[in-house]
Amino acid sequence: MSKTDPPLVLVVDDEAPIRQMEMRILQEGGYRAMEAAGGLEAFAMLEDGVVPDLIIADLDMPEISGEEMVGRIHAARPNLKVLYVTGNVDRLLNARSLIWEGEAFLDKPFTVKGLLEAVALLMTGGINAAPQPPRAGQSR
Amino acid sequence: MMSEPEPTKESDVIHRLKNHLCIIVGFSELLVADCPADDRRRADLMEIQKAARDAMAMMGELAARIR
Repeated sequence: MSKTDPPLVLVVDDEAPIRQMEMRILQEGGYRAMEAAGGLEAFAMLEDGVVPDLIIADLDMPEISGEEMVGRIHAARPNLKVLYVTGNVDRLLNARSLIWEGEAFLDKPFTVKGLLEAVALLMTGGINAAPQPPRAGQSR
Repeated sequence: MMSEPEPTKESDVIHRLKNHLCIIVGFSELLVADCPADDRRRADLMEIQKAARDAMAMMGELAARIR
């Protein structure tokens, strides 16, 4: 990736239409985006050298949950930012008392604006910021 | 690893409905954004978008009732 490239977002969701919609929203919002249909495909992409600045992870996926996938990825890249999307955010928050820095949750159904604001908040700290190339050392 | 409560049948149905609504809301918004202001289909798309947003609000109410 060159220093001028916009951030790369890896979208991981087993529901193809939702994945494709997120890809389009991100691309039209100025981000680079790649997709994986599940955790195992995401692991393979990362092993092949894909270096995302942020992962959007569905929590409820059949082969491996979004949180388990992220836990394994964080073992190698602990500061990788994560946006979990879920239709069960209340159930999730009842089971979990802490949200770590660098992660956020977005409840389904979300709007185009809602997704872009959540991604911008994680990437830049502000909801109205346009995509910026990641600073050196910001992502690993 | 967190342990989530087992989903009930109702919450599972709502979860699936939310996925469908997410697709309707998202793609209708993308279509509206791509549709020229003078295109008469824009009004149709806006109706779909409005209905989808209303359904989102209703879904929130429904989810709160079964909690």
